[in-house]
Amino acid sequence: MSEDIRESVIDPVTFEVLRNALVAVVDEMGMMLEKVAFSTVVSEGRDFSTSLSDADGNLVADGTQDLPGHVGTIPFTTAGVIEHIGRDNIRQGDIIMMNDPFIGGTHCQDVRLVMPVFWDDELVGFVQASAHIVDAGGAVAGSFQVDAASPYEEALYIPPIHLVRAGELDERLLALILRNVRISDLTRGDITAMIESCKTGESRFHALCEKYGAETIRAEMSELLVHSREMIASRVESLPDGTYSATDFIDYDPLAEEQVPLPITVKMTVAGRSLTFDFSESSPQAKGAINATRSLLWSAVVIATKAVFPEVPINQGIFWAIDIEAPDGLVCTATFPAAVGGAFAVCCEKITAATLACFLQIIPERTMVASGNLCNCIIGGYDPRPDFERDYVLYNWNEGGLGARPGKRDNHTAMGLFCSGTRNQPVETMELEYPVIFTGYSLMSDSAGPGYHRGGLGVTRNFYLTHEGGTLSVLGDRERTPAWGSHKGQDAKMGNQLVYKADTPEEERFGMMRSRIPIEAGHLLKFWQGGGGGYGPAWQRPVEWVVEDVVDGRVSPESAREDYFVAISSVDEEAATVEVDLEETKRLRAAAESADAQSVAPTGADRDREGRGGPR
Amino acid sequence: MAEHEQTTEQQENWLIGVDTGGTFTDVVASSESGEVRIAKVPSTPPAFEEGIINGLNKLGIPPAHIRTIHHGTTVSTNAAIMKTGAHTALVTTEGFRDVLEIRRGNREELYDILWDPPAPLVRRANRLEINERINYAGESIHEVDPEELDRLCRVLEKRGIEAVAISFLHSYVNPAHEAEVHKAIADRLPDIFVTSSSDILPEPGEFERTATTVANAYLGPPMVKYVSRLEAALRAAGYDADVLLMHSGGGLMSIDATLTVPARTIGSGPAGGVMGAAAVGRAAGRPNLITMDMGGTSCDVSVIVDGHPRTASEQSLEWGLPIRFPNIEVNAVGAGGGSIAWLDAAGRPRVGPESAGARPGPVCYRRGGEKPTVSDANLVLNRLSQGTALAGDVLLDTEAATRVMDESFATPLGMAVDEAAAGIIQIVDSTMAAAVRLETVNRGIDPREFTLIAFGGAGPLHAVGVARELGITEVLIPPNPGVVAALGQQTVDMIHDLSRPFLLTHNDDDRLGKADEVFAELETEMRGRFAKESEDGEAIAFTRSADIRYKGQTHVITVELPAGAFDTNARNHLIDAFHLAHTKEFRYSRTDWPVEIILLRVKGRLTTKSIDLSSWGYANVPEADVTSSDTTKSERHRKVYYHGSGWLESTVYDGDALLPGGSVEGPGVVEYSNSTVLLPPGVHGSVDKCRNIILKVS
Repeated sequence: MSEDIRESVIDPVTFEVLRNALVAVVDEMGMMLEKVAFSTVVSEGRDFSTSLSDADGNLVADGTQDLPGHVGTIPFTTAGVIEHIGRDNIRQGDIIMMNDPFIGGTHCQDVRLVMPVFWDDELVGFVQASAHIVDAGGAVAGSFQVDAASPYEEALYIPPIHLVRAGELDERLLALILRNVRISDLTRGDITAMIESCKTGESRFHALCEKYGAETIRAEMSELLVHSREMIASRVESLPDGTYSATDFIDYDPLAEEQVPLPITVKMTVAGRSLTFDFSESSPQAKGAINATRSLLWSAVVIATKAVFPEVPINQGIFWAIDIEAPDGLVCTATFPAAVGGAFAVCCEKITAATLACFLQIIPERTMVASGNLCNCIIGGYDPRPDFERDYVLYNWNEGGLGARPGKRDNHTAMGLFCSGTRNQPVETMELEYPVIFTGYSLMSDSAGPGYHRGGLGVTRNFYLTHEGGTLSVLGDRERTPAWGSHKGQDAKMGNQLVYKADTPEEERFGMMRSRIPIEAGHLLKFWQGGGGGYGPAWQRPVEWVVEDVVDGRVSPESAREDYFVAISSVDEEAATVEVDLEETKRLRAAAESADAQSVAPTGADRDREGRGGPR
Repeated sequence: MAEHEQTTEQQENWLIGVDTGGTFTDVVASSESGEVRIAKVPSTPPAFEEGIINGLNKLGIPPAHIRTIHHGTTVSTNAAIMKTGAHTALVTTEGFRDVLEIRRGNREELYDILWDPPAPLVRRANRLEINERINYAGESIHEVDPEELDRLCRVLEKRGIEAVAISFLHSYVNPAHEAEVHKAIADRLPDIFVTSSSDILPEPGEFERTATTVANAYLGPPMVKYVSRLEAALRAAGYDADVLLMHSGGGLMSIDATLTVPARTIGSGPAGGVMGAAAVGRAAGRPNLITMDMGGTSCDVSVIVDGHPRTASEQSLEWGLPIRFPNIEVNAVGAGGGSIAWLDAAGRPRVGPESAGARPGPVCYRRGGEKPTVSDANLVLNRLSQGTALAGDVLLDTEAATRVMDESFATPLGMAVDEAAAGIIQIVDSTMAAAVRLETVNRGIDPREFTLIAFGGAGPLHAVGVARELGITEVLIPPNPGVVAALGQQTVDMIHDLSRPFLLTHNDDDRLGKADEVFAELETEMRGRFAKESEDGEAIAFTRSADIRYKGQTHVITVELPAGAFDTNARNHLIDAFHLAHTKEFRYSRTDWPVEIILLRVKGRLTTKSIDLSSWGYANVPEADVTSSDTTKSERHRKVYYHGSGWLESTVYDGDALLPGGSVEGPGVVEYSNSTVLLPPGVHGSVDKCRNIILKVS
């Protein structure tokens, strides 16, 4: 049964015109938020989202450049606001604030402002602005405390509450919140920006109601959702029926007695037009702050599904087209009082990767293997430089290598899927703002997973503090389980790492899950975000592609030989030329081919439970 | 420029404006006595200079009478998009060669796994590093090692590098290391084109500065070659005119200056269109305009307030390739005549962003295009006539366009073919309207207070539709709407821009004098630049401005200073103006929040001769050989389809024959040699003294 558009209330042309108009409303909100925000996390990093929902809280449109990781949580936020505040207590000119991960949030740094939109005294929808504030309180600067055992240690929790009532800002509430967070002047500016962004959305929403009539807008919103649901369903129908499963692994629970990998297992079932994801075999809730709540589980699955079918407009219709089975109390459906600071960097990344691994088995040309994993590396302290003399919270996040794609030659280096709209912060800006000097910011040779299709390279940022008094917290993953490859493509050769006093006898590897480490001035920190996995046997990769990678320093001559079975006989670094020993290469590749033929592991299903992920 | 006092009737001096686009080269000539001539000839890539000579020769003006040529060119834009620039190397601070490739880490397509960023202009092997370092305060913490320079030069030579970009961290506060490396390369390898980031863009932000510097190096050698070919071709054809090039900032610069900042010519064509529109608007008493320049693949939108086009500090040639020079802000929307209409998986209609471009082009071009486009829709609705010169001298194929429109679009939608075609136009009009809204409503400007000026091949067809979407009540169509960019070349002055970072908080009185000194230094530097290209150096008009923000913000607003010294009064005035601008653009301001100035800017303007706009409407087109044998000129009526009204008998006006005081009325179309205006029912217009059509839209 396909959608019969001739039965629609809205004619097809008006439908498309209004679809664009609704997205434009949200983009105008986003443009506003980005430009007036104060913290570089929002203005330079673009760690925010804006959206529009219908009167029932269904997501209708999100911004074209907004943080994907927020998208799937928006309906939960709106629902949470309606439930906690009560429909009758939501009035024109109100703005309701919240950050509670258990009421549809993500982690506490993501503060949401939800504004109802009324037309002719009737609720027609909601606009929402969400931004990552630099600090949400708690024990560590930036509120990423991986060894937090409960929400009480992590951050200030804000359940849905009126920040603005009938246009009147509740200054006392704002003062209460700002009193509980670090660097509150930035957060004051960011919250002001979010308020103005919501007001922009409201006035643009009003303009549409005025021009087209609220009834038309309501009908449009409802048909948009059906449209996306039908698009996903028709795509699913074209996939082979069956159940496909994959497991990815979280490195470990930082508060558990035994450091063992925690599985995120998904069983994806395609049956006709229905698509179900079953997570019930995933690890139970962890003790440390690496859990995610159900809203983020949905977000991660929606991101992966949208990535495979990018032409489907994102809205509640995608949620309607899929089912998720997962009992409460898993690491990805954590219940209060679980700690959730690492919801994105740990849990969400694995859910998305495992979901893509299921799609990889049936629609490989539209998907990719595992990517480098975002990691939050944050230093808080006091900046004693003359003219600065203030507290600071320095955010460091890196791009990583994206996983190899059967549909393209290789992959590049960028932010991962859940945060693909976010930007890095310029080194020059960081050095101007904080007592830090960077000694390098570059792609790492040999960090990607070799394969016929190579993964993207990982990135390192090397830096040291110029003054004493900094304290570091790091919250990430894929230190022990680098991005996996598939179909005889190899895992990424480098995972994430944070190395202190690098290249000295006192060198120390912090791993990805540590809090409150004092950092001495002048000692080098190397912050690696790993490469993407490879796809397909590397011995089949064309020799000229390997040579190109060696010339460009993406692959070393040693790796060319060991991983790609290409013998480099000489390298002229000044001329940037490389010579290949073709005879030797032939021998190496023939041996690799026969070894490959004898390997018993079936393609793409060579994963076990020893801390390595991928399709199985 | 020297005055030529000996002018007589026999020796009349002409000013030429040339705009070379990818398809056509437009030439506009104006004489001191007020005569205007226009020539439109096919462009001749890659030897664009041939098209220019062809155009000049068409004018029928003795070469000796042409004194000055103002030139907007697409050579640099083409080279950057087609990746045909120089074999370029980048030299960076050790550890930072990948800044160019990592960019800002984000992706244009957030979800699409198959999306790839464009390849950087310099491959990784040719991104070289020097072990040097300057900190945020401008102090050198690691000097350049001369031995490293020996190796660097050896490497450049061995690899046959043609151009080098040098970009070191914090060079905007201390350019010494860049200068040292620059000198070493220039001394030892004089044939290499070298450009340093501190010379062309002394502003923080290593990716954007490096990308701009790399683009500048990459475009240097091709622009050097182009300019020397152009000069040779002009000489060979007997022309001995001064050539000034248009830059994206809406000003002219000498050839020498162009060869220092070739990347500033990127976007000079669209900027010319906006400058031309601004001049038309000023002459027509309409200083507040929204411009809409629609061609085959995109629609350029810009905003003109009080006669001045809005400017931006950065433009993006393509995703991930920012060019950070002050420029006329032009927002390109992916909506043009070639935009393809399609049905998505759920059977819903979509238009663009994919475009059939000029090749294969719309179905009606009969060049192998098989997907219905916006131009096909206009043809199906009889808004365009078969004889319209869209694709050169090809007669457009209405039957093929109708058939494809029906089979692949209308029938699956259950719509009649004309209804479906009108739907395509509606969708594309709403897309353009949304873009205009983003540039106006969202930045504190009410489009209803503006006149929409439409030009380019397709702009006038869609102008009324877009105006109605936005509630705009007045639309202006200039005469010769197909050559407004070349007209723009005739209306611009010589302009240079300089800037320097300078941190000044709102209450810091001690450093005011220092800021004033920086302004003065920039003005002195600029006088030197003008002295090299003009004898009228004394007549330069300077404008000072500053980038300001609330302390803690990243985004800045550029605010102009009052004339005179930078003292407390000027500073206070500046801060008040900032609060006002913040309220206008972002709905609020907080006078109790601290404000800081971070960058000082100076713009220098030297007025040059320009066209008399009252004569613009009376141009002679010596040989309109681009226009096909046009059968429609004799046709007085035809049936045209309008959304909401269906097929109506419509008046066909000859645009080139409309005279002041004349009027037009919808339903109808106005046909110019290279453009068509649609007049839906209810629209009426009059022709003003400059022969602009002023349409009233209800």
